Amino acid sequence: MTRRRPRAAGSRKIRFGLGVVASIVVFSLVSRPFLADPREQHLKDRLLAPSTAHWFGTDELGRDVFSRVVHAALVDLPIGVLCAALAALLGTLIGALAGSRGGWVDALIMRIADVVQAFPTYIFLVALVFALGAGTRSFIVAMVVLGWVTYARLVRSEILRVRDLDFVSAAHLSGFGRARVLFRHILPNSMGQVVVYLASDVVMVLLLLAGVSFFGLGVPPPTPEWGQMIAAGQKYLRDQWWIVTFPGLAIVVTGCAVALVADGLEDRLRR
Amino acid sequence: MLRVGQTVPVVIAALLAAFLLLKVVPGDPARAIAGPRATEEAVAAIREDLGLDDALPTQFARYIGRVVHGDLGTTTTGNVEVTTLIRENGVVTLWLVSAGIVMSLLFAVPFAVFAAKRSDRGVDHAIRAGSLVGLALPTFWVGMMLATYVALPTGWFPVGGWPDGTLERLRAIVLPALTIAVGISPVLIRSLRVSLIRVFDSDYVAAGRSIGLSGWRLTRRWVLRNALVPVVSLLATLMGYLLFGAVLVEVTFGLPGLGQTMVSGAVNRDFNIVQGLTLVLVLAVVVINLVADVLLGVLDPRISLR
Repeated sequence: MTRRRPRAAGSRKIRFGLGVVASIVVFSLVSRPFLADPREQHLKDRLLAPSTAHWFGTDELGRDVFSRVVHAALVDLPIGVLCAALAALLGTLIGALAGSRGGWVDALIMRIADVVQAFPTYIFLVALVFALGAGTRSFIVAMVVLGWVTYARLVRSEILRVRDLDFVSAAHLSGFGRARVLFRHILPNSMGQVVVYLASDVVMVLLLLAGVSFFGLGVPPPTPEWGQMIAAGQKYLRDQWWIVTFPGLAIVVTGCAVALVADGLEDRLRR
Repeated sequence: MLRVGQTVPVVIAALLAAFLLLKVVPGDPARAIAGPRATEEAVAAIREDLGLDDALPTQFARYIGRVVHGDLGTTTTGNVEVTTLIRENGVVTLWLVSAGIVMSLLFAVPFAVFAAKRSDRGVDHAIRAGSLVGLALPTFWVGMMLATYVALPTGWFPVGGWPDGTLERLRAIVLPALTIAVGISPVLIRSLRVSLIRVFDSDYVAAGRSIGLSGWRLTRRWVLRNALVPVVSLLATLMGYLLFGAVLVEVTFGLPGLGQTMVSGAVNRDFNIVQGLTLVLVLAVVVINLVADVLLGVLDPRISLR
């Protein structure tokens, strides 16, 4: 019972997932001029049910929920991608340092990584965001400080695997410097795992950002952000379901699309 | 996976991290502890009390000394001991996490077995797709949806809050635990499915089939026991994530547990609460990992403790 999944399956998932993400971004950009101001309050139009004027209804301050959900896409997605990318960058550099230097540098970095990994990161994330002061910047800093570890481990083990392959020896024998061999030859061949993890990390960051904002420690109002919109709408859940339901669906759709990309990348890597 | 020998450095790191939280707070740490509405005298007293002008190692040593004596400070409002708060609210979190794990396994095991037995067929793809969607679901939102679309119309479960009496509590814990299960099960299903397929393919299962064992008996006695080993270690590694889920769920359903205490402490800028809870939750995860390690040795004698 050998299991084989064709490369095409992975590619289809990647294309579909990326397509959805790209559509969300493009739609959010293009539709902006036509939408109501996501921050403008119309107190006489509070808590209106979905209608042709307000597709997703209005919230407790009379703001158009559809416009806020659409605008929030360009808040949540960039932060999610930025956090994951910064953590990947830092982790890759640290992992490359550990893998290529070896010796006590490697041992020290890996012991630190062990300890950070044994930590319940998400609990610590809340504490760190609190200590740095609630806000988007604190969230990004905390995410990177706690997120680099997995990347460093992946890169390090990939480097150890690739290090002794022929093409690396060939590069060394050609007289290229250590840095050049590392950055031009070893690293590009070690990035597969990193890219796969990066994609699933973006999903994680999206959920964490929404969660931390839901606590009131993330993106501050009045900037539209999905988690924060859900938090604000919780009080009205009984009768005004639309305030909470639509931003949540936006997270699910975006998260699924990115998760699909991650899944497809994994399929491809395994081949 | 945490090894026994690693526990000591991790515990020290946990203490250090909780201690350093005070150092990354912008501005005066004494003011951070005293809270936003404290008088100048109160701030000065805390500065004096903690010896904030001493060298860092001295301060850290003093912090460890306090923690060892069970002193995590008091809350800024109401002057309650943080340890008392943790003892009272910890029970709710314990309920929630245990019920969440039980519920997750009740979901994950049947789905994973079903998917693995019919791997690469329609059911398998459906379950895999479902677990992909599950990965992208925000826990707190799922909780609210369950409250609105299940608890409200049926009236079977309370929408939130923590009642008295065991029976009432069991009822109140169902939806929060279900919410946690929705978050955790996809990860469990994906991992369990892979390890089940591996075990189903192995020689000893083929041998089991050849002597006439089949169906549920083979799955339960021969396959599940081996396939569940990685799940136990996965559950342990997911513990931190599970606790974060518990924090979200407690806030969503208004359960007075550690998570809600921590978040309201953070929102009200009550430093001692956040610091104390961070330390306790981190240590709890470390201990759970240690227990899981021992448990793994029992489940699978081939794994030896280093």
